[in-house]
Amino acid sequence: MVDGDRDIGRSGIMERLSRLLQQLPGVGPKTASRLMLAILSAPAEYGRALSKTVADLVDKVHPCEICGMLSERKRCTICTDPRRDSSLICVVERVPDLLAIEASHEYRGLYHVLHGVLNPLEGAGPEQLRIDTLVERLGAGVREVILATSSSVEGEATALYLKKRIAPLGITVSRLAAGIPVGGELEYTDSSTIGRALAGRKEI
Amino acid sequence: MLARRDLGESDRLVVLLGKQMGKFSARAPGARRSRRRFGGRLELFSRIEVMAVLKGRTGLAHLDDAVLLDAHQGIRGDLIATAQAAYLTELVSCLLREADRSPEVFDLLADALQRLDRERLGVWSLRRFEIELLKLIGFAPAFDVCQECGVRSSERWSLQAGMGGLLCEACAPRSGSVSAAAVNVLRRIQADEPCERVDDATMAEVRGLLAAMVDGLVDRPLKARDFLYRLACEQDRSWAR
Repeated sequence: MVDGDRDIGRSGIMERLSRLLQQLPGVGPKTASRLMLAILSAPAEYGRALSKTVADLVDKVHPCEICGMLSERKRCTICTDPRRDSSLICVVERVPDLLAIEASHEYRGLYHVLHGVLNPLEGAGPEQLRIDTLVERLGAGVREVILATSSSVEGEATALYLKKRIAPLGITVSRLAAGIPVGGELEYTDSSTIGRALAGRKEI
Repeated sequence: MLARRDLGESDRLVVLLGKQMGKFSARAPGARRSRRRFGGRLELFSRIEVMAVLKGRTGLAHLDDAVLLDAHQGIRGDLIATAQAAYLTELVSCLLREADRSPEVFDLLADALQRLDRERLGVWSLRRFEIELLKLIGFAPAFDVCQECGVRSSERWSLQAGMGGLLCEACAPRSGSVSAAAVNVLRRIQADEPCERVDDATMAEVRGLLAAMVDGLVDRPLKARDFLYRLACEQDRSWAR
């Protein structure tokens, strides 16, 4: 929104909502203004339902006590699903990573969300992640832990640390493969990715 | 590449050290959202060749393209080496100001990362890096003589970070907390003359002294140094000396 727009009789509530909306990712002044006007022009029930749902979201959605995924109950639907393979645990950095793997429909095991990565330059150490709760879960019945942290320096460091913590327990520790993306062209792929793709090649 | 952080929804802010350019920050548009534009080329510790447009007013360059020269994959395969690389890059990043041109600092860091790609650095090499870096940015520590009277030997010394050196027992009678053994090791590191055997307590004292000198020059605590020390204590104490 341009400066001049602020003068067009905005109430304190509108200004406050606009500022709150702008704290959301991807929402600038113009989008905030559009969202606010859309709420105002919709039936009043819509605005009330939206407000109540946001309040419920904040009050009732918490991390699952087992895996750290967001859930309305103490244990999420994935952890309580008996059809899931409980011998497999996939470790991800954040909830959006879990959702991305779920969207692939290729994985039927359980998850563990770390809620971050080791980050030396930010001073984020192991004690700031949900690593102890992961190790506590690795009792009888777990045969493999899949480390699905990103292939950045921080993600690799986290995977190395987890491997060191988990390997002594006699559980297989695997890492997501890294290499050429589906549909990707070698010509436009960086040398580091090609190197890792070659190192991780498999027989067909 | 010295550091990076997310900028807005899809961009990255990267801090680079150029051999001719010195330290500079640049915005890499779309670096988070599109893998096509920069791919895995904007990774920490990587040696890259970049095409950037320098913006005079804001001082923030605009990154157009990056070519990966060396990803230092060896560093990424070892947790302690990763923590050491993070510490060295943070040290350089904090001690150099934007646009300070120092090809020597570039070479010092590039050599250290090259070595880390093959093996972890010993504590002696880390301390040597710190002293060399301080020298190259104009704060060469003086460990050879007392900064007040010029005497060469003393039972106890005291660190005067502001003076960049030491005071002997006679010149600072009540504050002497540095042992003669630690001063001897500092002198040997500075002269690049490795000692046969140094006990853990003395090396820890040397580490603390150099950390105090660095802390006197930076405006915030070094996070990667603390991370490295905690990790080393947990994983392998020999790297925590």
